[in-house]
Amino acid sequence: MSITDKITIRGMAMTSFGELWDRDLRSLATEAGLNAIKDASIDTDKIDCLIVSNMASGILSGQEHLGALVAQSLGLTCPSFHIEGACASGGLSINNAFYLLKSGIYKNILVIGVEKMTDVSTTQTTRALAGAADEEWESFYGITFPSLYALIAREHFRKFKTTERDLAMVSVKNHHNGTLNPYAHFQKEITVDAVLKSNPVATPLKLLDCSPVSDGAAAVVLTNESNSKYKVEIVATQATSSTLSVHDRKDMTTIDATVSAAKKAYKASGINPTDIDIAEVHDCFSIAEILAYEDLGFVKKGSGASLIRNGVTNRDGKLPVNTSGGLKACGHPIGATGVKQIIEIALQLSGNAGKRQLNKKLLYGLAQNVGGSGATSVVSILKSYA
Amino acid sequence: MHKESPAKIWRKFNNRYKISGVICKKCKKAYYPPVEYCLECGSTSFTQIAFEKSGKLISWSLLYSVQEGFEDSVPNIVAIVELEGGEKITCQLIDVEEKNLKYGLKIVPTFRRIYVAGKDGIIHYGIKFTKS
Repeated sequence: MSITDKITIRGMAMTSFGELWDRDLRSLATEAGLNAIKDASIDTDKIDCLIVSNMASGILSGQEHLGALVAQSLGLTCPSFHIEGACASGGLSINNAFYLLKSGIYKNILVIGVEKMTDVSTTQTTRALAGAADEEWESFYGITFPSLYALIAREHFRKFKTTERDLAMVSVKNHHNGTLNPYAHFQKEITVDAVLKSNPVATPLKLLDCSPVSDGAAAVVLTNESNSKYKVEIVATQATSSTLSVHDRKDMTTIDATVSAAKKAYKASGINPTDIDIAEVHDCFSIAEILAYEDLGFVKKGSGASLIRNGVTNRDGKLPVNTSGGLKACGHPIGATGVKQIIEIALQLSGNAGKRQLNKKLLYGLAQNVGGSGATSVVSILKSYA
Repeated sequence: MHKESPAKIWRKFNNRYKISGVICKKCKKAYYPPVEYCLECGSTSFTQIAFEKSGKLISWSLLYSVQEGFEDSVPNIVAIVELEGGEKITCQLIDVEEKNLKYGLKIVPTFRRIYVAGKDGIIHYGIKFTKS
């Protein structure tokens, strides 16, 4: 097959996300990888590069060298390696696969995102995840990820009058979306009152403002060969970096890396934020979805809560956000999340999202994947060319 | 349990125990936490300076779900404070009642135990902040 300018989705698959006590890292990655290759309808030996996205398997599973581990399970002998950018590992892996395919070196790259998180205690998981913050200047003082986003939330409340109820509405929306996703960690409705009454984790954030600790894997086969499977291309993907620590940012309520990645991605696609029909954003905590609305340019800084209050980002709104259930309800197996976002957008754009398929014409979809408290951000724009 | 080598802690004595940062020899910009490379002028020459001074509270969170090693300090009050020179840092607050926490609260540093790394681990000390 001839090499085209388009980088397209050839195959995709994911495992269920959740507390999967009977599954380990290897079995999750293998299931997602095999099913993505099967979905792509190509022979395994046509995969000429394997990228494994994962954040903390060394601490969580005592296993590193994931490229080789997964390559062996799939019977691959092509180049294989692991990409880590904390919670943005998946987005970064897609981003790197995109440019490797653009270079023409490879033709079919398998990207597998995986995280096995439930084999250690909650405090150990919390410690492992805190590794995405600045170890000396944040984590040493007991900082955890919920508390970093809590510090940002409190400042957003002070400056822009955003409320705990606004944040609760984000979780309620994403849980509703999760009820329609058979792969989601949580598939049940919650109420604003339930969120507001849930136990405090890091004030003002409560348990139901936080994405869960999940196991799971998601995989895509990306290609630069012509393929007519889904008719979805990645038109642009941009990754940028900002300060590791929240305290080093000029404005605590802005994820600079998202602002710059989004601007570059819109420019490379030749579109504006108003052209986006659907988005998957990084709602690791409810406040993060509000920040995403603003930093992606859907509304001006400080007005993020207006979108959730007015139902704009609901399934039946003008700009549906997190139809997969987002990190909150679909679950957040760290390395898998950014890959799952791409799958959700591709399923929706190609009309393959099953009972959660949006009932309107979709042309452009956006995925935003954030690492740490905002030090890494990847914004990818997908387009249907059906 | 999270453990650190004595050398790692010894290396950090100045920063952890005295809030000492650095000032760029060339453009005089002050950094806390310290840096290796001046983002203003590109210099790599710095003089160490002590920042031990007061500041104000910018944002805070009462942390109930804590990291390994912090189980004895629930809720752990973590905060971002702005020192008098405008530098912002992440820290812990101590001896402040929740009802007194507010934006702009004047705070001062105090030398405290940060956490104990298990039964046979090292006791970590450092600076926390309290209301002035």
